[in-house]
Amino acid sequence: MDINTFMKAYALYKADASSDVSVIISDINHDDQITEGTFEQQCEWRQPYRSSVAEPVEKPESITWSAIAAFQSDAEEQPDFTN
Amino acid sequence: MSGIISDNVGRGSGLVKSAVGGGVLQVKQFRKLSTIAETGTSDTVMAAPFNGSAEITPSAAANYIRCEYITCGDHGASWRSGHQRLEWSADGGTTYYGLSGGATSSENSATMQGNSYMLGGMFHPNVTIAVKVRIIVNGHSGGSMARHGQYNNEGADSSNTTPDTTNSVIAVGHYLILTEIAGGLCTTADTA
Repeated sequence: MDINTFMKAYALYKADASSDVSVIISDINHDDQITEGTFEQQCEWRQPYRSSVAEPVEKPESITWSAIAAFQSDAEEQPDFTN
Repeated sequence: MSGIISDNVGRGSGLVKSAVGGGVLQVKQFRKLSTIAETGTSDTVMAAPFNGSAEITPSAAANYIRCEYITCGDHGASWRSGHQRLEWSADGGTTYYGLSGGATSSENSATMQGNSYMLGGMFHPNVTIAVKVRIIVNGHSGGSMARHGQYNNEGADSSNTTPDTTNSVIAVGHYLILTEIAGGLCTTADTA
């Protein structure tokens, strides 16, 4: 999945799960892709757990590749981030 | 003592070779080789190594730490804007303090490639344990940046672009340098 689609899929997942955990993705393989195999390495998770600042947290167990990938089709239907 | 001694070696070739005379005690550079996808519109700790994992341990409590951080916010199909803030902690990350901030704005319709900005400054942590430095990013609520450290993209920011390389070495779009400087050489003044 390309990173842009993943970001949109995660936004859909986050809204569906009413989660306050956000994600930051690094393009560490320089290919604009994220896969189930690289997912853990590429993502960092943030949550405002002690103040209004979203700070580093371990990935919650409920956030899985398959849970996010389930929104891929819907994400692909969404326009790119256009403000 | 100025702390820097120049011996003029190589001046004819444009290279000035310098030796350091005790003021600069250690310099640590943290380069991020990849671009970052992030669209937060509230205070969010940036990706590693700008997440507080960049550390420097002063050799004496009297010494100061100087910071230099540069990044780039890519442009989008419509405008992008946001700001970042540089913070430090001398207690292992429990308490952070602000140092400086900066902002970026760019718009594709203005035929831009993005906007680079730099944060820096100097502080006195007054400890001899590891001092953490981190970056807080906060995108504009109406048009957040989506790609960070991405300086060589002419299109919209709907993809991550590999940074330029020179002889296979990546020229990064974001890095952080931490320098320990002997306290006797440093003063800071805050003006209201």
